Amino acid sequence: MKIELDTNDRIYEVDVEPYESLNSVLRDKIGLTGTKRGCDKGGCGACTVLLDELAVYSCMIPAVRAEGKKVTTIEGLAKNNKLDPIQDAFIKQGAVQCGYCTSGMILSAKGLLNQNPDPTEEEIKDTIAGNICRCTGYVKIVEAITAASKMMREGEIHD
Amino acid sequence: VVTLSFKPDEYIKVKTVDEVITLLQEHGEGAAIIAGGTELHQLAEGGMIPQVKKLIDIEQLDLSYIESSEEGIRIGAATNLRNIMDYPLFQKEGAYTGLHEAAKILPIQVLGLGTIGGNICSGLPILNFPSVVSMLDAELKTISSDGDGSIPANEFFIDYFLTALQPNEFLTEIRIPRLPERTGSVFLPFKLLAMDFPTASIAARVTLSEDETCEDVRIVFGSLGRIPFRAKRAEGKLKGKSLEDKTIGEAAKAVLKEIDPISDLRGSAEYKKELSRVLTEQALVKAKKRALG
Repeated sequence: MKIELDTNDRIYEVDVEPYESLNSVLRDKIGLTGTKRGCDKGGCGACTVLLDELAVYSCMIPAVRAEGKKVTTIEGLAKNNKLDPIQDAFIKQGAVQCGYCTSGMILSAKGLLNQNPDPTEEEIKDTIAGNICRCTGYVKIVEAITAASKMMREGEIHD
Repeated sequence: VVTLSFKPDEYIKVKTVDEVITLLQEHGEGAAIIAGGTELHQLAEGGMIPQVKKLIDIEQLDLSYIESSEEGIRIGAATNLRNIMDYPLFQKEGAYTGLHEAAKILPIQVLGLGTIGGNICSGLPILNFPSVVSMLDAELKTISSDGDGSIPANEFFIDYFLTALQPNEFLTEIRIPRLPERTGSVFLPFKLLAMDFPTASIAARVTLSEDETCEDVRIVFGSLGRIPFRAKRAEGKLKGKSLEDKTIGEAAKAVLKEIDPISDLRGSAEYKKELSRVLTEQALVKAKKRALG
């Protein structure tokens, strides 16, 4: 079936199977491979994207269901050649090792900070509970999200 | 890749309840309702629903709501767990706290999608809401080609994956009766791993009189067997008694005589028995505290 997917503020027309996952469509049909494929069963978080404001596992969302909603992937975060503060913070805090979990982590964090600009450490940990990282031990990831929230709050004051 | 193994031939976004009824009537078990889609995905991934050829997406039906009135609480079947967790009345320490605790799951990627109706209709005793709606004496409202129906939560669960729903029937609303003043409820899971299903879980509720006599009580276990289990023997030890530590301890011991848990990868039967005794004590102490406000 033919659908239109609004992804990163661009409309893609794609032909999809009835239960084809958003993950497959993003990666294999649209070519946005920044969203990773991990366990494919809603457990590892590598495939996390935003559906409207909600962080979801793209592996368990039928692409058909994303029609009429806004999909945001890691490729859609940088604006005007400027990285999103969360991306910036992940680099500065050294929150990336192999990088496989990174886009999912950043999208989960984005979903949180969109709704809660000043989260507690506990809220940050809950937010990334569904994003598995096998390299870093999570400490630097939590630090990066904390730093990003601070940057975003201060940025707002200067604007 | 699930896309390659699970191949329904149609994905239908319905706009009316009538459409759902027609599709269910026509296709029976060849059709499945997709609400949040999180549990369905597990089944698809496990190759457990090869017969499903039609997916009925009910996202656009008006089934996501929570309404509280004098008669009780109505929760739309497609209300997601985050909305239940965040509902102010359920966050308050009291009669409905068990709903908040049962909805409070991780990961957030499932919390925002998974629905209370899906949690119930999956018919899996390791999920949270089967025991909680049983504990709250909820009525499950349904619709089918035969008209409106209502099934008491206590009669809804029949076996693993099997509920009292007919193939042409679907759940629309969960109705929870208004509970008396001085009632406290609790849902308490015990997990070996934060992201796993519980080894055992308990849903409990007590109503206390002015002099702290137990006027009403429910103890329902999840995860122990094929369906939620109501511990009536333990309840009998509490009703009409003052809810002191000693009485609570006796009720918890009575649980050992009536439960018959299965051994599985999350623990042996013996371990789950002792765990259930401890959970009973902890749950009753919490419920009592909430009843007293």
